Amino acid sequence: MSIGATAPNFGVAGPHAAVVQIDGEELGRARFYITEAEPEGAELA
Amino acid sequence: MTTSRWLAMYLGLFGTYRKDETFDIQFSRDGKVELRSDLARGPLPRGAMNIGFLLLADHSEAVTASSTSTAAAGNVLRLPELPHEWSFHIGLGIDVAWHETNDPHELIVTIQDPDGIDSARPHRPASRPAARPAMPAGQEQRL
Repeated sequence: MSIGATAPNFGVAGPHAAVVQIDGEELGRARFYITEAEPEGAELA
Repeated sequence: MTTSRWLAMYLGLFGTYRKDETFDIQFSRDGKVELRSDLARGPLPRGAMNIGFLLLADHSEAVTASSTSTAAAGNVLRLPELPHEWSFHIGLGIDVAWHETNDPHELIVTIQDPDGIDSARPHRPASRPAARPAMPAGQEQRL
């Protein structure tokens, strides 16, 4: 399945995670790091 | 186990388990290392639901049972300034055990900030995976 994250407002740099829970139990998480970098713009790398 | 098979496994040449042989596995779950000893051959113990894959992507869409993603599997997001709004997709495959396929389940996906606080809750569907008629008994289903 595909899930769209609707424009979350990222406020701080550092480690973040997309966390998946089923019936209240965590199944897994995808970790990603947010940095503030000019001028490339928003991208996943 | 014969001496020759033991020696082959010890040297890393080959290794197989036969009927009535047991083995040990070590794995980590929730940050804790766990050990299971004297397990019999057969399917490994597992939960009713497991993650098949979980990818961050600029764009992702699911068509029937497959998923297509672009710029997937990145783990660094460079933003021109903070705070910043940015939309992305999560490609997700969940393996549902046979005995759970006709039960309703609550799926919650959250985005956590560096303090572990939910900064966004992009999706909260109530999923009800239904066993497909063509599925053989015992087969798990990937959502």
